[in-house]
Amino acid sequence: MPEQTNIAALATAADLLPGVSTGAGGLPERDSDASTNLRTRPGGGSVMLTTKA
Amino acid sequence: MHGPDNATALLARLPLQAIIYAWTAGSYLLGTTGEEKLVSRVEQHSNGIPVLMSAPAATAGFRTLEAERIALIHAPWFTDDFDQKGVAYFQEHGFEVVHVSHLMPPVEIPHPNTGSAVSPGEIYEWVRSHVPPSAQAVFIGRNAIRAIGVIAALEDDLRRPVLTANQVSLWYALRVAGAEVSVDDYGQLFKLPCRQSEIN
Repeated sequence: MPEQTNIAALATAADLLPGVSTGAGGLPERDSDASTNLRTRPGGGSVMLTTKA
Repeated sequence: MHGPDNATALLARLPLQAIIYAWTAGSYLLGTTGEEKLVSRVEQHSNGIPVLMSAPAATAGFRTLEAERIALIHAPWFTDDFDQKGVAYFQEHGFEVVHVSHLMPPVEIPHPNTGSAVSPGEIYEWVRSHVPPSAQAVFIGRNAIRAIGVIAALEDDLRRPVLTANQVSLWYALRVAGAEVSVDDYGQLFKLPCRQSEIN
């Protein structure tokens, strides 16, 4: 068991309503740059990163 | 790179034991084969850190709970067609889906930074009034609704385990990471170890 467990999450801000076309790899075409929405909690072990739609 | 690949590469710079790809609907949309391809693809950028998705976490949770008949509750921007994709996903994994519904009235899918489109109270009332007695466990699918706070109350009322997309993802990630931590008040699932066969 690790002394401290760090887990992060990322989410796809995908508007996945039926009929939305998907791009390469089956991902929504609007799923793009992930670098602009990184939120961290100082001192904590969690990070939530949302890919930008 | 695509968004999730790029995001995974960024997160992989951190000292992590697991990365949750919080996208239940993606599993529904892609199906098991597509989901596995997606995970394999983004894991090319994860520096060896396992990438876990919510729907497989729910599958592991149900198997750990030995629940075979399940109810699926979805967000209010789901449609009947998309509900059925969820049914097909879990049927493919051997579960009998005895109920599926999405919260009503329908709402537009929210922007990811605006938070939940439905209140915990609305989720609680919908689940309590729609889950049939035949369901052995419940999955509140979709990561973008604030469902985690209603788990304990629903389990008290329904006398059955209640999983939510984010809760079960965290449970699964902790188990994959080998973290023996005690988590209270977020569902009876947290009192159980994951079945080893469910950890890849």
